[in-house]
Amino acid sequence: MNTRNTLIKTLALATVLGIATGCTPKTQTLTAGNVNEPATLGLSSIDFERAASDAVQSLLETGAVDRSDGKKNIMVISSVLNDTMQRIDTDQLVKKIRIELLRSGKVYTTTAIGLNGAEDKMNNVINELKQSQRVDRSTLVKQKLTAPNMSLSGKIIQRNNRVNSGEQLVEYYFQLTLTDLSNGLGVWEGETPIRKLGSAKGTSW
Amino acid sequence: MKRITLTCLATATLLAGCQIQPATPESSHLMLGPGVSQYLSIDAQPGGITDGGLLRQGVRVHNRSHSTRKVRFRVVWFDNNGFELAGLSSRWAVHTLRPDEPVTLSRIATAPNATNYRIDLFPAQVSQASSTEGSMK
Repeated sequence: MNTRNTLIKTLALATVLGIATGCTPKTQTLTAGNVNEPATLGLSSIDFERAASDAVQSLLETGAVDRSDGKKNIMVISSVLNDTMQRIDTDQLVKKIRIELLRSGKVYTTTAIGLNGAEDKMNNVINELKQSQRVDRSTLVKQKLTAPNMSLSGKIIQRNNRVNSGEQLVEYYFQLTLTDLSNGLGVWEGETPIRKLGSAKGTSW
Repeated sequence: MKRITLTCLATATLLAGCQIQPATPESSHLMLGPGVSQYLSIDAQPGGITDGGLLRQGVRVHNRSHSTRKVRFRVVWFDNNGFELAGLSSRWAVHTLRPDEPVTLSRIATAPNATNYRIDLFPAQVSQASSTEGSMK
């Protein structure tokens, strides 16, 4: 009798565990270019890709980063403000633009100069190595930083509008400006609007 | 009898030869997904080099059907050795095509070593299994 009870309990436990495991959503890794990419009211990597791609295509199309002297532009990243209801890192946008512009062979981005100091702190630390007795001085590089001639700044804006009792329209605007630092003029400006229609119950943050 | 057979064969060969359309260099760069050619007309394949020396390619299309269609578009870039070049300029983008509205879809290669390309035009909604299938136009 005791053995029978144990067997029933074990079977019941196994059934409960089986049902629980079966109900758990399966985790899957999405591949790039997936057709059936899940759509969200918030910003996803697809939106950042689209905004960055549009910006780079426009920059190359207008010739804003072309130089007639054969030299490359040195770009500094100024501020890209996040004026959305979401906690996002604007590098999700800026990094993609930097990668593509570097790949195009037309722009270098300085990591030594920026609004908040050097992006790569090693640019400053390298100077301190001169004082160190442990460093072979013959291997030290003579640092001469290149000043930027272009600056990229921008803003990401979000606006939510109720369409009807059941739906809401969430609009995002990716606004970017490229400034020629030699004269302070904005030589290129781009805006990519991304509009999403979804349930009014859905959240976009 | 032999002469008649030979004449028939020669005529048949000539007719068959006339039916083969010479493949233009541009058309071999375009890959259409399943069913796309039924409602999409390819009007032109503009292309060239930008002032900055980068390859730019596109396709001008119009939707022959009476309803709005959605297509996925991308341009895949290749280097001199035939290797695919990665980058955002090869990303898929969905475009809405209204009836009879001519649209030009184009991209600029972000890699200066891009020398060859392939344009992919697929229906926006396809199953994963057939998403890579297509036919060279």
